[in-house]
Amino acid sequence: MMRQFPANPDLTVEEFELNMGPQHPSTHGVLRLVLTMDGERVVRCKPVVGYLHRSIEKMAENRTYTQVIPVTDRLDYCTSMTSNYVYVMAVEDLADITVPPRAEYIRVIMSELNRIASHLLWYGTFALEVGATTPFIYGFRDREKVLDLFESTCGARLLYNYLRIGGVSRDLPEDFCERMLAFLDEWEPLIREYEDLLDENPIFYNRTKKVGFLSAEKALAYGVSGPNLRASGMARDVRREHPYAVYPELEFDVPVRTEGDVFARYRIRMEELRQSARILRQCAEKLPGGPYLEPQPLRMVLPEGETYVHLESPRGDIGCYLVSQGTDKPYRCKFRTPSFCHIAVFQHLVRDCLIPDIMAICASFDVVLPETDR
Amino acid sequence: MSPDEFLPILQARFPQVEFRLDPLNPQALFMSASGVPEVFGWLRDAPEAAMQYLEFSTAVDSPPDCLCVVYSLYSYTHRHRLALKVDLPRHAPTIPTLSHLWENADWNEREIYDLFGVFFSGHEDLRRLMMPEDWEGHPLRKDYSHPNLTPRPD
Amino acid sequence: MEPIFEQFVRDLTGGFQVPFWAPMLVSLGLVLAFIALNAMFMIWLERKICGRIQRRMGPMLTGPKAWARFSMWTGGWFQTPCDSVKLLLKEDIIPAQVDRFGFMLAPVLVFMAALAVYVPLPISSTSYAQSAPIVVAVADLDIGLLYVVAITTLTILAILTAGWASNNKYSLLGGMRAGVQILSYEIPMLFALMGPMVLAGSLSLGDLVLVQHAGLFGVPLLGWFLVPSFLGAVVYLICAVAETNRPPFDMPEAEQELVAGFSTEYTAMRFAMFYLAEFSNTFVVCMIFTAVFLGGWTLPGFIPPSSLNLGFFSLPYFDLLAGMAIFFAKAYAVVLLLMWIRWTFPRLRPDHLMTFGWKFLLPLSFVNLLVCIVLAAIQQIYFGGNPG
Repeated sequence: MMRQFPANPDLTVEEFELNMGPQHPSTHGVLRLVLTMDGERVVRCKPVVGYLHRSIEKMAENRTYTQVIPVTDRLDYCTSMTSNYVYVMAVEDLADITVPPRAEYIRVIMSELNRIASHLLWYGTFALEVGATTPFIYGFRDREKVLDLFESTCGARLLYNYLRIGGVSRDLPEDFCERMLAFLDEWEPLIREYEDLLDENPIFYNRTKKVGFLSAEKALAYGVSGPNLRASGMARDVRREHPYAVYPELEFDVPVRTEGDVFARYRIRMEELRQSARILRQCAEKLPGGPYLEPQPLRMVLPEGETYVHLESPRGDIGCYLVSQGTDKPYRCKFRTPSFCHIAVFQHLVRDCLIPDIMAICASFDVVLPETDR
Repeated sequence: MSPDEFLPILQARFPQVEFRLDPLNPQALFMSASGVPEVFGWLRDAPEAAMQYLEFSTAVDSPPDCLCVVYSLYSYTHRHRLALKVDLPRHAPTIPTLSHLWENADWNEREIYDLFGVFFSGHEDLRRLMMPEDWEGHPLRKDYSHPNLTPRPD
Repeated sequence: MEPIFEQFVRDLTGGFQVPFWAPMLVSLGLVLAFIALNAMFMIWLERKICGRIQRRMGPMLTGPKAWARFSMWTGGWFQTPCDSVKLLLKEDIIPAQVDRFGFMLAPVLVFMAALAVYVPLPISSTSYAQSAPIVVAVADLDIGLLYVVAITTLTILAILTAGWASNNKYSLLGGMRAGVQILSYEIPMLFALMGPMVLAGSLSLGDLVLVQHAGLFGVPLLGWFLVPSFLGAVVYLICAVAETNRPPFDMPEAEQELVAGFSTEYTAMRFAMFYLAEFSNTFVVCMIFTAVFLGGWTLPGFIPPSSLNLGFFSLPYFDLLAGMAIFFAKAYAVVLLLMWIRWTFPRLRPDHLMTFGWKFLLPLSFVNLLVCIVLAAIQQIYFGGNPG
């Protein structure tokens, strides 16, 4: 689009297209943003995804129900436990399997630890996008301790493959609860340190306040969920609305803010860190003994039927729509992932803002591409 | 409200559209393709339904005859969910778009077009989302074949 | 430089008369060597400080293992020489579509500016007891302050050339941002430096330091221009960080947004030029800050003897060496402050940067100038003017 200056008709101004990604030091994963810029301002933004498409849903159709679980790990590798959990929950729902209470508690403990790990990763990368390098190291250093806990349980740091249909694959180590409580005692005061680095900083305030405002109506229309929706004023958390596992017995708050800007999304996730710590302490107290797995046949055959289950991942509302036609393999397994909708929102949000704002907005939404592309 | 409560209301409002319960999925209703924009518009705007949230939309391929497009709607005010399934003929699946009702539907429909080949009439920018633009074929169909696809040893 | 150098050679060789071009070459050699060694040291220091702030140790694996085991601060000193050698050995790639002349000119320009700005910077002086101490600088120009500000403006040309010639939208954006940022922060910097100029009544950097040694209102402790011109010092420090493209003002090179900004297309030695120039400029602004606001090579009330008697031998040129030690200690303290700021703050957005520079720092620097004028007038009227 060309513009001419009325005072000087020989001078024309054109918009130009800037391509950000898929290889870029900052976009979270292989996301490509095609920006139409007018100088430093963005006029239009078109996200292009599909660079990480691994046909997970097609793979799921060719594997038995248990063989799909490691594939779901790769669905959102920052929160691998939650991805496992949503699939396993769908299968258990269709097959009408009851999970022993110890396994339910273990699953909740793992989900919440995963939430902490994912939010710490988000904190590091978010601060890095805004330009502060030190919080990155702080976030990752503490995430290492959580990953150590995971490693002692299931042997893996990132892709756990820990949940099984009917329970979990192995029991928690004997000293797990002590180590987890020691970690929480040491780490919870450090959240204050993370906030100190960023919260009162006027540079950070200017970069994040009133930037990337998302209204509640637009958020619902785009399918935004999780902390991003709660930052726009809607107090919805799957753990409260449709509680699963042992969440009805646990006490925790759901932080909500109404500003809908980058700062609100940041504050909500920091609060969620504290709430996760609270849930973990309650779980450690209430953890029952007993079996950790309801053994299932190696090749399960599920009755015909369909179901949709969803749960609260650190990014939002992750769901699994499972169709079974009475065989030992899923007929259709569709994963509804939060980042898919969040990236679609960028077209609406990233308009009339500068490039640094794009980075701040993208980082505040906590999108991961493997989840989007599947 | 559960789907069997929705059923009589919808049948009364939209007599030209066929609805029936889904025996395999207690959360779903089958409907015919003719009334798609009106029904979904009503579901979004009517106060007793208030489905402002399109959770997901996808398709299920059932050769040889039909390809079923599934929409799952959720209401935050009433906390109820309704899944609507539309059976389409496999050789020429076409359905009107819902992107003017929920912006979420935009990318969902592009993905279904990409992976299943369903054409959404009225969609502004229907092109492939996951696969490269010049890809031939629709990968999630059951009869899709590609030289790189090797069967797994059982 | 000439008087000191000639005196040194005469003392050493007993009366040898140096040719007129010798001091120039010697100064050039010393400055180049200093730039290189200082850059290596500063990069190592930066990485260690960064590590300590981030609760880790920084480079530890290169260099003798025993040194690393001894302490965090002695380990990994060999890292920077290794990195420099690696940078030198890299393949020099000139992309096909660039503007060759501009592409090759930009690193040269930026290094020229970095080198030329060392000329009037004084690091020490001799013979305090005499009425006219000889200042140790490459050349203690009468217009030293003006010269320094003028030369640092050359960097804008270099960056704009680099951004344009690289034929890359990211580089262009980076170059434009850098140009606008440096231009905007030059002006408050100039006004901030005018305060001390008025207080001292001279543009020569050597004179500024000597006036600070004499003290304000007859009190040596208040002499450092940090005290009367405090606002100016703060404004100067902020502008200096912005001039050298250091975080939090590193918009032009923001890695998260523009890959490497204007230096995206540069590799090997050409990139090393930009990198070296950036670290050199950082140290130069710290040196200027020390000379103008922190009293340079002097300590209030302390006059070092011209040779130190250690019993068994006497150390000549002691006043010179003591002055240099004090100067570098202060300069590196300021460097540490800049590094601390870098690793703590997030980055400023371009429009915030502009607002901050034009609407906040510029008025502050005017206020500072007024305060300094008033103080200089009081000094002139009631305390009999300033020496020098």
